Amino acid sequence: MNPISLYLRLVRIAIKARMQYRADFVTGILGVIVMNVVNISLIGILVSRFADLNGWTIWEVVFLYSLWILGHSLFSLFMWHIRTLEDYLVQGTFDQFLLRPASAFVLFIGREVQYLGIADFAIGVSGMVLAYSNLRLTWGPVEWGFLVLAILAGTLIEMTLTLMISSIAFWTGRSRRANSLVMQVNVMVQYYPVDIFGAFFRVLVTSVIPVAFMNYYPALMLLGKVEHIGAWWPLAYASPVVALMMVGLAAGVWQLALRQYSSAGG
Amino acid sequence: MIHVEHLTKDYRRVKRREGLFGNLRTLFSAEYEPLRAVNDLSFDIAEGELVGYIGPNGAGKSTSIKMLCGILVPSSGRIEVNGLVPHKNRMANALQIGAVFGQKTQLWWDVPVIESLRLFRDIYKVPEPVYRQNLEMFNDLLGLHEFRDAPVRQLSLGQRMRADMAAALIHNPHLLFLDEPMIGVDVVVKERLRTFIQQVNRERKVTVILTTHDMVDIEKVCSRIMIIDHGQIVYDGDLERIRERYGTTRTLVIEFEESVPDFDAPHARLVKSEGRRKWFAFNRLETSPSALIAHISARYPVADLAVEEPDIEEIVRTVYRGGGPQEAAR
Repeated sequence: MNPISLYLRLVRIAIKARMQYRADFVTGILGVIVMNVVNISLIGILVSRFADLNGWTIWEVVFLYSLWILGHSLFSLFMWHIRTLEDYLVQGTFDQFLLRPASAFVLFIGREVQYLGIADFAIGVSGMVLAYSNLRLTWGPVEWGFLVLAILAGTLIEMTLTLMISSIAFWTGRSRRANSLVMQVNVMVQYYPVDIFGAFFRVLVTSVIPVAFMNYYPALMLLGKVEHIGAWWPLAYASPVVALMMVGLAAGVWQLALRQYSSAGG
Repeated sequence: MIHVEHLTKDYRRVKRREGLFGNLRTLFSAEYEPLRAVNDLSFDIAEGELVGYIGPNGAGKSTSIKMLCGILVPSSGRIEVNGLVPHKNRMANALQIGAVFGQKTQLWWDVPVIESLRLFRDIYKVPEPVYRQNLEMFNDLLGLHEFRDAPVRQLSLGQRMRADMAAALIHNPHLLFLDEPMIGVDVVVKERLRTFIQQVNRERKVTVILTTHDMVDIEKVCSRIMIIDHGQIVYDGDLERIRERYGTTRTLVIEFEESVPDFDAPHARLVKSEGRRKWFAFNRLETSPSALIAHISARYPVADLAVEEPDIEEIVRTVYRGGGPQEAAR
């Protein structure tokens, strides 16, 4: 079996497994929708009070939020369980991924799906549609194509970050705290345009934890606000490149982690 | 089939730190406690053998099995499994082995058993006729058809073990590692699993390594027994030899015609006294039952008597304690 068809098979099984818990499904979806509507309304109130968030209007903030959550939705649908890697290690269930004549990564990544991502996706699409019409945007094929790329890049950036942070558990046994630390930074980027923060935070979310490429930078391009960052304008187009770099980095970390696992022993 | 030479495995157990940046600090400046799980282990297993691999908890059984599976890399020493070095050819090795870890299932928890089996069929590229034939065998010998459409979480422990056993053999492996497959399983299922293991070993020429804490498994199933403790082999041979070497203690049980006071006989020790019955332990190298019986019956009238063989569990306990034959005789 090649890795892609193996992955698709695994996902199909994971979905079947999830469908066993239907009541859970409905309440979970409702919960996520309510939570996000409350979130975005709070930001709306905030923005309307101050009238102006460093030149960002309320619908532009909604756009930022929606772009982030679209990338995040694919992550949370298919890759949320990367965050629980330490449980696989502690409980010893990781062993079985190494017992098969197939890639341990594919076996791990295809192990679970998390339907709450569907709610994230719905929120993202509605937010995007509302923002698009309220901002009176008129995109050509280049912008639409870039939107798709930016969403996928967002997914990959969140996935690779989470994978690398969770891999700490291969060395220390635990990674939960580090993960929630990064998640907190990530959520800040989701809610607010990065340029309202100080230099330290901007550098942080551009380089070390490059979550600004999930929404802020591509949004500058998509909203025609590239001049916002002056000479740094190439960053507005850089999301796909950053995502690929992160994939390379994460692949290296993963290889190291597997070697650590087999030599130190679960 | 399996060649293991001077195999050693050291774990580095991390000392954990608490606090907000605890795991980051651990990452960059970890303190490790070394732990030798397997210590200079050497053995050979020929094709078609059925080996009982036993030892107390933490003796290094699971660690050595994981190295044979290619999951763990040895710290030093050599392993060859059917010509392959497991950790260097993990995937090729995976094709020729099957494994059951009794503590946790390898099946998908929330989907029907058959779904997991179908996936393994495809991962291992098992040809359809072989797959069908195997399913038929699992139906006959394991009763797989009784629960193949139920999700694993609804199975009893016995059913789950049977399902796991089927999953481990779906691709006709040459080698089968069974790490405590009998744990928590009732007597009836145990008997069924034993018969199944023997049949697979005999008819399919599958080499089996079986880890268990149940000595009946060993006595009924295994042709050879390897005892491991503190990461080292402390006994390797057949059951008869272990009996001869460690099981020199016999017990003579005598029922007297009336109650008699406690007494010791030459070369024998009174170990238990209950009503008109008394138990005498003796070393068969020092005295014979007939001499003992002659001595005792000369003093008191004997109504009935029996000589008890030591059971294997007792012998193994002696070996675990590191006792030689002398200690076993006491």
